[in-house]
Amino acid sequence: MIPLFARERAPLVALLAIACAALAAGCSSSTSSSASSGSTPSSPASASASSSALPTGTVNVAYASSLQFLNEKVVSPAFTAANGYTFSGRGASSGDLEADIASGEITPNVFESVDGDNITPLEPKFTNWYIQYAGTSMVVAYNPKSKYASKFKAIADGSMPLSSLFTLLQTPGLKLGRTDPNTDPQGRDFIEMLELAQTYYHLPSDTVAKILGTPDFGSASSSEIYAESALDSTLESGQLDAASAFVTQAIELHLAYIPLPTAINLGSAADAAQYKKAKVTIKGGVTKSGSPQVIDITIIGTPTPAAIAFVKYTLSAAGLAQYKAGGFTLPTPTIVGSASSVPTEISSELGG
Amino acid sequence: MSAWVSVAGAGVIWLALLGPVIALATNLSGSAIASSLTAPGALDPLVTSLESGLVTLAVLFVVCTPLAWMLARRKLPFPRVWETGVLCSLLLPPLVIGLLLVFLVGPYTPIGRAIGWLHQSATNTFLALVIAEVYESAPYYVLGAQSAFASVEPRLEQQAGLLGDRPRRVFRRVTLPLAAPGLAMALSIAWARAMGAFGAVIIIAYHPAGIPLQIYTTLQETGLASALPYALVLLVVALPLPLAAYIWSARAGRRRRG
Amino acid sequence: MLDADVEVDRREFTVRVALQVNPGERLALFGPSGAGKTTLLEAVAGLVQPRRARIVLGDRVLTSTAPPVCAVPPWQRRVGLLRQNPGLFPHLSVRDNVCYAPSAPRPVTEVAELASVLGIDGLLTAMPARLSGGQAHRVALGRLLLARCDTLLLDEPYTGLDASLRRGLTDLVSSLVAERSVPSILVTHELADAQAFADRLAVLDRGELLQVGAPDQVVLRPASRRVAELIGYLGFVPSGNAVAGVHPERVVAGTFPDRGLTLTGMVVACRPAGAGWEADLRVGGETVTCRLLEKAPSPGAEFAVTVLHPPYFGADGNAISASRAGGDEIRPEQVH
Repeated sequence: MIPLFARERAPLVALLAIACAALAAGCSSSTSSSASSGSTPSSPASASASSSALPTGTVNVAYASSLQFLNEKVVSPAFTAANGYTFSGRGASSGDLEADIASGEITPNVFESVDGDNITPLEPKFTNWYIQYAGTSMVVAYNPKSKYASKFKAIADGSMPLSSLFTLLQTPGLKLGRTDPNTDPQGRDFIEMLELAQTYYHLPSDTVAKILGTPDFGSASSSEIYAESALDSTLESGQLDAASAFVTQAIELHLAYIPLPTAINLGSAADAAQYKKAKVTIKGGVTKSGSPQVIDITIIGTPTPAAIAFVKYTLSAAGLAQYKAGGFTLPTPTIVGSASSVPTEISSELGG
Repeated sequence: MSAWVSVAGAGVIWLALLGPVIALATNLSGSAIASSLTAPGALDPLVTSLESGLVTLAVLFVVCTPLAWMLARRKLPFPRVWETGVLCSLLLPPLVIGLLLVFLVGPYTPIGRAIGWLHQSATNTFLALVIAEVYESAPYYVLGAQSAFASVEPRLEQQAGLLGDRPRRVFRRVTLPLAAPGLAMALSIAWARAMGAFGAVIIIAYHPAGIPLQIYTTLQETGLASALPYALVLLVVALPLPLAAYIWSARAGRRRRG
Repeated sequence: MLDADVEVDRREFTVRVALQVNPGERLALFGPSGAGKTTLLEAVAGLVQPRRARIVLGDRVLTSTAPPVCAVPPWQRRVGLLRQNPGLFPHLSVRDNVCYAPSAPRPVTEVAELASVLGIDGLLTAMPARLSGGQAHRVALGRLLLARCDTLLLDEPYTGLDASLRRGLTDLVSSLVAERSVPSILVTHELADAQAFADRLAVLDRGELLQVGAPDQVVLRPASRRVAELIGYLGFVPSGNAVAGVHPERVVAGTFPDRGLTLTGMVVACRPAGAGWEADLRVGGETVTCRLLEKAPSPGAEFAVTVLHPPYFGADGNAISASRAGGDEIRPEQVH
């Protein structure tokens, strides 16, 4: 009777209904989120519930890919609960992020990078300080179902000498995965780690070339090279025998891994001079040398309250504890650069 | 008056669609183009893209055309099931296709092992690049070709049969020529998808790099200014084929409609 | 000779037809829309699968569902089918269309000769999209003729063409069929086309052959009331213990008892029809339509007409002879 519900109109009506429902859901979610973040800061005297006294705003954080899990799943909810600011993050390789920030493609408030070398090019235009606060190190992750798994396991728990790992990696048919040294610091770190191992264990001088499959270490043309996003998933799906990884990455993704000694794993600030001896020449003739895998944090551009709160939180006892739980080492936080430019709330956190 | 309004309206929409292309044109400087493209090995990705694209087209034409024909002529039982399958492969995001291809042709899968016996690999090789491009563009070709075949009246094929042609001759002399413009369009769309394939390519075929991957890595290595010229190259190289198909298709249609 | 005995299942009924057509003979298959005429032609052409069939063309068995089972594919049957839509290949020129069949001769002379007979010799380089309806049909006909078909099946090919074109094409097909001595079947729902074309007329309704015979015989002596209805008898008047079929064109004004059945009734309406008049007459409780040369008296007046030797049908609907009907003298006015 009612023409709207006539048979032949049913698909159109269904489509309209779905569209309306989607619209309603969109409206209600935006109103609810604005309700939670739209509360104005009230004076302490009139504050009743703690949530209504929390400030509003968003902090945009650009972080190195290895910090993705930690930031998105651990730090972000805790930070928002403690401080009220919302967290909006994007992860990519530190080198990409530095290039994007420099060119204006992205404008984050906070930049967390692996290796200060990715922050120094941004000085002094975007910032002139950074704080080293956490560290990670290289390991070799392996596929527990690989046919070489028993050997990997033996090396990992010490029953086989670690130096045999590098002979094992040369086995033809063993599928090793790593990332592009031109675009991903981890790609370079892996090569530097191999060079350090070759020296440390007095291995034949062509060991690294044989493992990488090419004498041109900085080349991107190798069938071992995967995009960062592809490497872990390919290892997880069992299509690789071994892959480069940071210890923190391996812990987060529950990958089996072989820990490496500090002399070669780029994880100790004390061995920085040693690490520097390993070099990789990438495209454009640029030579990069090994450096300790320290995580650095800085604020890009004019510090916003949300950005300051985030850096302060990250460097607080609670924040650092989250990093420790994720497998990071915690050296003493050190300011590199112009200490006077560091916002006082942050430097007080360090001093305290 | 209303004719002007509709042209103006269409013009606004068209300009909106072309926004990124216009941005490309205005953000490129001649010197940037010259320096990027004359760097040693700069045109290797172009050759890789062209070669893999052409191989992909050949694979699609040979392998997918029969399926499209059978879908169009309703020669398959439970046609909805078959069509849903094609739609599923269309709906998968390319990145997901890439991740799942690892499970399909990775070195330790049955298919991967079989490929390994032939001393080939389907990971980070030219073969992998072709596989990724085929998977990203195949559903578009199947759907387009199906539509092209469906537009050929079955009665014409019947008449050709009654005049004495066996089915294969009917296909060659009647079906294929009449479906050809539509097939050309379907191939050009597949070509566009294959040339621009990225999501699946970056997962299983980081190497050798075609143009899209080259843009991505150049962006990270040296920044936007040196990556954009490759985008221009991609446009210039990929455009002629679909354009030619469009023109031919229109001309053939005009001739047949009188 | 074409000998077809088929049973084809359709959605609402089964087409059950058995007929023979001699070489050079033209059979018209006449019936209302949906009677199954096209289905029969498609079965002969091998385009539909019959439930049971035996189709023999000349000395070749084309289809047999009884052992030895045989189903010759359409491309080997040498059956020519011309449909309402001529089905010219749009991507080929007229010449390429006409010469399409693999068995078609290529010699320019033969093609040119046929083209001039068909009146399409000026069109050989044109594309089908530019042809008019009549031209397209002639090209399609030429295409069939060059293909050396052993039988010609025409499925309502003249629908949509004007009267003179129909006549011209009908004559053309008739002469070509006679010349080549092939059996041919024309399917039509227009009686005039059937009569113009046919040596024999077959009436098909709901899948059953109701009557086969010479066209004038079928029209003047329909075998049943249903055939009469299909052929155009519009009035059925009780006469004695039978019913007389009244065809509007078999009625003359006035009473001529020796020429048929006289009817006297009241004029209900009278209107112009073609070059004459059409009058509705109320006779014995029935309304009878008549075509007359002159205008009938105005409505309400009494009017007498004679139906020239009408067919009579018994209670079961089948035809019976005039004598058994009680002759022509009974005046149905007795049965007001």
